[in-house]
Amino acid sequence: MFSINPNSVQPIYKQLMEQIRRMIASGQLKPGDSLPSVRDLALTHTVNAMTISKAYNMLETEGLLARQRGKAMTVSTQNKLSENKQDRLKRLQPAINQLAMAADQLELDPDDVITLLQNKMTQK
Amino acid sequence: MTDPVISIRNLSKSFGSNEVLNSINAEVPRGDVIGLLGLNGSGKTTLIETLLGFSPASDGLVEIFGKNSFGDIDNDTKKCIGFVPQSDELMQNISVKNYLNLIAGFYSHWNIKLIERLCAEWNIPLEQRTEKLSVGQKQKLAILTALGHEPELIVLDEPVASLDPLARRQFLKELVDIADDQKRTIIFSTHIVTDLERVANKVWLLKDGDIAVREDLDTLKEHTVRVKLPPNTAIPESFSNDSLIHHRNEQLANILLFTQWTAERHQELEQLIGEKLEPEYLSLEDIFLELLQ
Repeated sequence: MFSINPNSVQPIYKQLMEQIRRMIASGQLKPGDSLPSVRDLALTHTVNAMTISKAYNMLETEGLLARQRGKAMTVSTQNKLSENKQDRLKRLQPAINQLAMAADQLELDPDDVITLLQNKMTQK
Repeated sequence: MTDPVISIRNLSKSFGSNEVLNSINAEVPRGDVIGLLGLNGSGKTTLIETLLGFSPASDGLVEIFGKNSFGDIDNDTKKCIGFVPQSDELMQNISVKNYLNLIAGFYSHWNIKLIERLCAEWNIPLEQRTEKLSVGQKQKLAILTALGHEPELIVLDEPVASLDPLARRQFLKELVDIADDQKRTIIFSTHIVTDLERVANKVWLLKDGDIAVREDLDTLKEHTVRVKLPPNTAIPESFSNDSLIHHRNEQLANILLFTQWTAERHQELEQLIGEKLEPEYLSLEDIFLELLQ
């Protein structure tokens, strides 16, 4: 279900969080869908269960996942992210830095890059 | 807070004039999975053997489950410990099955179903004589004998050195399963850093006789950066502190390795140096290699 790279500079729990976020954003995981149990995921991907728990707990704090009592973690049915807009924008900063660097190297105009970005974001 | 499983106080160990361990202080909380890294000859095996009381310390004290590991460990405590040494001479002229039965006899608790499952999954033929096993099978058998009594503390010294990638993955899965029980504690030394990144929650890096880096794995990766300054740039004194864990001068740059890195530290250093900096986050293997240069 997920692709774990232990050799990455990114801790495994962050890799997992990103992939779950992407799957929710793309609709691969829909509100109400269950996620594998911590233990199942830990054994399938050979990753310490504490790492899986950490990713799940942080996504739960963000409001993306919800824990049903006695049941598996599910994708939250409430569409509200608990992080404020400023914090969410901050999270985008590394991607923005990378994009700006790439655009610089290609000697592209900011306006052209913004148009590309706008097109991508409004595409559904 | 529960007592640590292992408590190490001012532990030193010398062989003649060769000081291998130099006044080490550390604790291992219950439920931790500690990955022990270090170059060959850095003292990993010495640390493990002294920790478990196989070898007396030159100075200092190690306690396991509250008891002095050299001398005070009774049989009941021994049953709570499983150890896989780096090279294990297996008893010869005996079948795997009888060998396992022999080991089982030392313990009041032996999970026969676990052993049977692992022998099957790990491809260890029960009827085979131990001396006829391949190197990998011997290593797997050595691991099994440390797991059968389901000890609370498992210590493994380079347990995967002779295992092929599949066998290694199977073994790691078993460690993940064991570690899922928060009451069990694991310490393992390895050269395969990616294994550590999967299974450990803490890293101890042994260098110059001490645990040079001891940190939560995620924290280490998230807050350790390599910063390149122009060659021969002095590190501002106000900025230099314990978080600078390594630096070296190369022809084209002065390379610094910081832990506890934050956005604020980044800003502060940029202001002090008067230049834009691009700190680089590293994989555990690269952190390790950088520290050893």
